[in-house]
Amino acid sequence: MSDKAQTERLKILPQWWQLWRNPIFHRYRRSRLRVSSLITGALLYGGTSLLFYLMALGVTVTQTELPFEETAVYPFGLLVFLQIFILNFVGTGEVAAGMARESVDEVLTYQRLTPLSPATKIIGYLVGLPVRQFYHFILTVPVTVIIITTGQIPTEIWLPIYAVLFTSTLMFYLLAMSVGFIMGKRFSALISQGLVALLYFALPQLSNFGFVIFEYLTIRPALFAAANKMLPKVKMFEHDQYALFYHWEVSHTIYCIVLQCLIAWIFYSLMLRRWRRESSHLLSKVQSVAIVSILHIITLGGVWANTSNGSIFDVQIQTRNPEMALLQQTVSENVELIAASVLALYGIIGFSFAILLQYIYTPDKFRYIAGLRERKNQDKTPYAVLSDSASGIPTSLLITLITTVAWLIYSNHLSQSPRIAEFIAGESWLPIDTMLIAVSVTTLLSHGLSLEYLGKKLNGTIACFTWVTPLAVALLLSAWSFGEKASSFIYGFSPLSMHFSPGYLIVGLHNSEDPTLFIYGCQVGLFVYFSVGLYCVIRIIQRHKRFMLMRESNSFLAKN
Amino acid sequence: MDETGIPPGDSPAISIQDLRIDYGSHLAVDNMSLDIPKGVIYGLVGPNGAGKTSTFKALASLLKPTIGKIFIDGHDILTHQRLAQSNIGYMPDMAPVASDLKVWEFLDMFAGAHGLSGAEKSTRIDECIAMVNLHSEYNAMCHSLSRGMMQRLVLAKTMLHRPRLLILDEPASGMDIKSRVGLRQILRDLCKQGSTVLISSHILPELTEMCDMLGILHRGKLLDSGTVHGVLHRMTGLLPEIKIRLAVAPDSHWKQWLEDQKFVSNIIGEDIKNYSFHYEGEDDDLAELLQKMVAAGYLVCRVSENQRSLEDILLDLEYDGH
Repeated sequence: MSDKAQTERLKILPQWWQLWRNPIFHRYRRSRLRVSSLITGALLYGGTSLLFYLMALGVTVTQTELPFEETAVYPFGLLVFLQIFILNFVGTGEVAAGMARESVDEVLTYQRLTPLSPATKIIGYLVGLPVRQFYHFILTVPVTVIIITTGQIPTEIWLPIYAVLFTSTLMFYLLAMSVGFIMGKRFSALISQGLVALLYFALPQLSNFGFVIFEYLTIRPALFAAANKMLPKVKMFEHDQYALFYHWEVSHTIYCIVLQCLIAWIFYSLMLRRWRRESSHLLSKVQSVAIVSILHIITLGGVWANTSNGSIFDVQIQTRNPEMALLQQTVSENVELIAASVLALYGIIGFSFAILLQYIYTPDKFRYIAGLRERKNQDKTPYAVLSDSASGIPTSLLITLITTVAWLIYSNHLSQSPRIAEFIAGESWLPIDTMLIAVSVTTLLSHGLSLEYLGKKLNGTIACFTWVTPLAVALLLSAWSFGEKASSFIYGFSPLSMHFSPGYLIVGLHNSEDPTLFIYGCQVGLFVYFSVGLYCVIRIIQRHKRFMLMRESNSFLAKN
Repeated sequence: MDETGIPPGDSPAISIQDLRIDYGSHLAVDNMSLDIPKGVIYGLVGPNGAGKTSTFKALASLLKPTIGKIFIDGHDILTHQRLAQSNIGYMPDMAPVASDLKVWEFLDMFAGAHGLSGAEKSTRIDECIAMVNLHSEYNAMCHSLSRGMMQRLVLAKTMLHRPRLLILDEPASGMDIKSRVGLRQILRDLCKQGSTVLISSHILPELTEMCDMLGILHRGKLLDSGTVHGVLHRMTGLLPEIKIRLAVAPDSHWKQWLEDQKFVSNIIGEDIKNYSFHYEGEDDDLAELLQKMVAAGYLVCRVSENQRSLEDILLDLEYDGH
């Protein structure tokens, strides 16, 4: 076939939006919706949804005198949970498992070779892999429509729920695709479902400390807002009418949708890069910087207003246990403890984002050398900045700067919060900011440098060891009375506990007792990490020079 | 025209320039340069770990080389990736199939992905299924196929979009003799239609018989490349020995006549009708020589060739470390 004919054929290939022409979608439509699957699904999910409706109807007719309009909320709620289960949990597992299977079986290699655009391939898998779950969801729709219409459930209740259900589904499926595609392991499905469980149940707990961003990654805020409207008397569903983003009041639904779409876009970017080139980093250096900036803007936005209005200092634990109630009262009275925890949490969240991104954009030494060779071959300067094989040091510097500035902004905002301002009472905030800058810059930069010098595996192992070991040793020592002082000192060695040091200084502002052992430990730890960073940067420069020298001698030999 | 067989001014089917592929600290392909003309079957052979699969993957744009350029039909595959992909049919080693699909569904997916639709798609699927002799399995589930059948199915998939370059990594593994003969015929037919085939196989005698050109790869380096005879000659350092049997006993001028011919040396008469000699020329030259013999009244009734095989060369490479 001639070039012209091939070019013509490329023009008629299905576009990403032409789902009906997408061969990957049709591949899964065929394999996952065979007659047996259709019948089983109809019996299981169609039957279950009908059962929910009939149960509610039966209870209404036989046991209460209430009209169906008032009891419809119960089968509706059950159906929504069933739909969340189908789309978010089963679907996510199915997407991750399907993607991993394609990757392990190497069928994905064939797809790489087809001239379909990466976007078409991603959409094909995104809609094709969970096509059975979409069918199961559709089976529940008729009963849902009947309940909504006969139960006269208002649009402002069901529409936000389904809007957020679909965006969260999109986000979870892209997460699952990324896990399956990138890891390519058969147990990716379990990992993805574990991540969904983490996102649904563990991370939202951080909203108790003002970090509401994690709650909005799920459908929970939309569900609670709807439940609050439908069942206003139930205390459990009490909810503010609006979410606060900095000082703006935002609808819970909009907040969820924007945040989830943003995270979905990040996962889509990962997939897109990997489809274009298997050996590409998951994110480019520019994307990494953009993402860390956006994540800080969002995280800060969520915690900002809660800090301004002081709501993060209202610890609310529903308990009848007198000891817990006493603890709650003690904590509520000591605002500095809450401020210290929230500040440390912010630092750790920022640190985690940055470390995760460092693992993505930093090239290993082989890739770095390969990049130098490539540029030498193309007669380009050896000092590239943005390519995947370029050194990650400039990007690490930028990300460290962004992370530190964001933490610093939050720290100063916290200091101006009325209850903390009252607590400080004229004391200087400078030592706290200084400690914060030292911890953030030293830990992030030394990690970035050692990652570049040692490579992912070795650095990962050493990092785990040096981060966790001091904590474990300190924990063991603290069990004995004679080891308390040593344990305080050793706690300071780990970069994880170092992030508590600015908060520790807040607590110590009015404490006449000198709380320096932990801080001394941090200072020793910072010195060690600074030295490690310095050593790594020297070795990286030497490595670069060695290659350049080799390159020059090779050129000399070639010329002579 | 040189040994590459590429007429001046015509772009080769494949042009590899200074290709280098690294996996971490391991150098898989080292500074390989190679031109393969259109319409030939080119066999790339070498021991395990020689860099064959890495080269194939780079050619199929599945792997970005550390340095070097690859041109398919004159197009740089890094800058014209989609166009290059639409011209390439790649069959990997141990080619997998989607086990949850039927045979026709598997082909239908890839036909669609290459832009075929409607009647053209159905016709092409039927053609390819017929070519690899899988009609009886049209509706069978892929997971129920034998290893050889799966190989044939993937071969059909590889040919669906009529690629101008076929890259086949061990295509005959798992195939029975009948299928292998069929494969050889298919590849010959494709070459006649202008396609170029790049192939690697462990069934070496078959490869020497099937290929027009050979490349010997060892530890990432292309040791030699050219016509099968030329490569075997250079790699063994020995000239191929041609044995002929004459229908009738020759006259007394025979030996002198033969010695005067181009490319002929070291003539040994085993008996009055059987002779052997070393021959430096190519197949075309040998055909011409035989024609001349008949014209001169020396009727040849049997010709055979005795040469060190490709297997011997590879064994030497593996054990001697070259």
